[in-house]
Amino acid sequence: MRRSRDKGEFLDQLEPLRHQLYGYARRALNRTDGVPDVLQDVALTAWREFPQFVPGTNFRAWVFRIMVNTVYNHNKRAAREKKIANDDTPLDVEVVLEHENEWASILEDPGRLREVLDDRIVHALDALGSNERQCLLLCLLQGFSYKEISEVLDMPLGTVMSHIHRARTKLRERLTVLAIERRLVGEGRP
Amino acid sequence: MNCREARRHLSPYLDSELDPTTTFAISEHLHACDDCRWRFDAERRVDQEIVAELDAGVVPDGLWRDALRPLRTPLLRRWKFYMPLVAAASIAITAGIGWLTNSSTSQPHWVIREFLAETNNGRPFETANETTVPTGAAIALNPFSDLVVRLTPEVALAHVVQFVRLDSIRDADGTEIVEIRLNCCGEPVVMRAARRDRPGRLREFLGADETRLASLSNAGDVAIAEREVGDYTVVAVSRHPTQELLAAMTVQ
Repeated sequence: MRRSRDKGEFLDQLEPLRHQLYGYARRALNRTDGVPDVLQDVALTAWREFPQFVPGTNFRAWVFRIMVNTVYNHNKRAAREKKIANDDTPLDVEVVLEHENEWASILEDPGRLREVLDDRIVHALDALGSNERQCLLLCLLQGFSYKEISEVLDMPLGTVMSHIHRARTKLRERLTVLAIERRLVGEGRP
Repeated sequence: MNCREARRHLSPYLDSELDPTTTFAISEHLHACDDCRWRFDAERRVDQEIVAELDAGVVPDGLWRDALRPLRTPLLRRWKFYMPLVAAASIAITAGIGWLTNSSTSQPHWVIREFLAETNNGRPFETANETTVPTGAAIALNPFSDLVVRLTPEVALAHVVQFVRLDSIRDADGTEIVEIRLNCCGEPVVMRAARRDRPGRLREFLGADETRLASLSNAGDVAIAEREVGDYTVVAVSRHPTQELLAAMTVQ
């Protein structure tokens, strides 16, 4: 049965999520200039669908499902305008093993990684496949459990786990390469 | 469990998504293996660095206001657009008056949730079942059977609380620490209790709890609050105010 819409009740639940929704949109959109549109679309869609929301269930997961779909549509539109790599490519285990020593060096002082690479971490994330990026953002940045992510993305739990594992490994590999390029680790480092 | 097996589970372990048996096996391994413990700690720090860099911060006020503007447009300006809906709604309202007058408002309650995952490091919890606990009921914090949390109407009205996990940790020397994880108004809260004369690793856990909660977002400072309850020290770690939750702890 559809519930009546109470705007106050809706906003009470939506407002505390505004920073998380903004954070996700900023990192998940291929074009960050689309953030205002996405936020407005999400707010409107959630309000329109609010009567379908079952009280007592996970409002955050429910809103993020709307967010994920909205971002997907925006990214699809953006990809039509400009070809953007969006495939979940397989993990190259050999490359990862090849940089094992460099990664171990990075682990000695992870804080330095951020100092040196700063915004390149964001670009490294952009290099992930769309599913991997979504799963990693929902997990790391938004603190969703794997089960919640599987519900938000309508994806089997095992697939979520694989995506997160692969995304983590790929991201670390990408960061290692960047660290080598900047001579943070490996031969020729200061 | 050997090093290779432990590291194979690194990703779900960092996310606290492993089943209790595997989590325990890895914890045992980390306890014994300095190299893996160092590595797991460092990988967790890498995650924290990544999260800190990816965190976009708070949404600018103007941006959020714009996002909600269509919802706040005065009804009159949208009157023409919504005319058919308004007509239909007025019929529905008339028909629904009888139902509305018979409906009752829901009472505040706390909800206990059973876990699927062993632990969730301060994140929102995934649940298998829910049991509603009526306001006024007391929950014993076993093994400290005389220490209870009593769900007062004041707390239930002021906060939306979901209990998600109650667990205890017993160290080799017999020291026991009760761990209570809950969500209060959407914010994760970790509470721990120990005997005042045998606090064991209570302080050590607090630092880890604070770091984990702080890594989830930068929406505010994570605070640690503490209260003496009878023979016990009870502490709470959260961004959310926890004084009333601490006050709900009593000895009976």
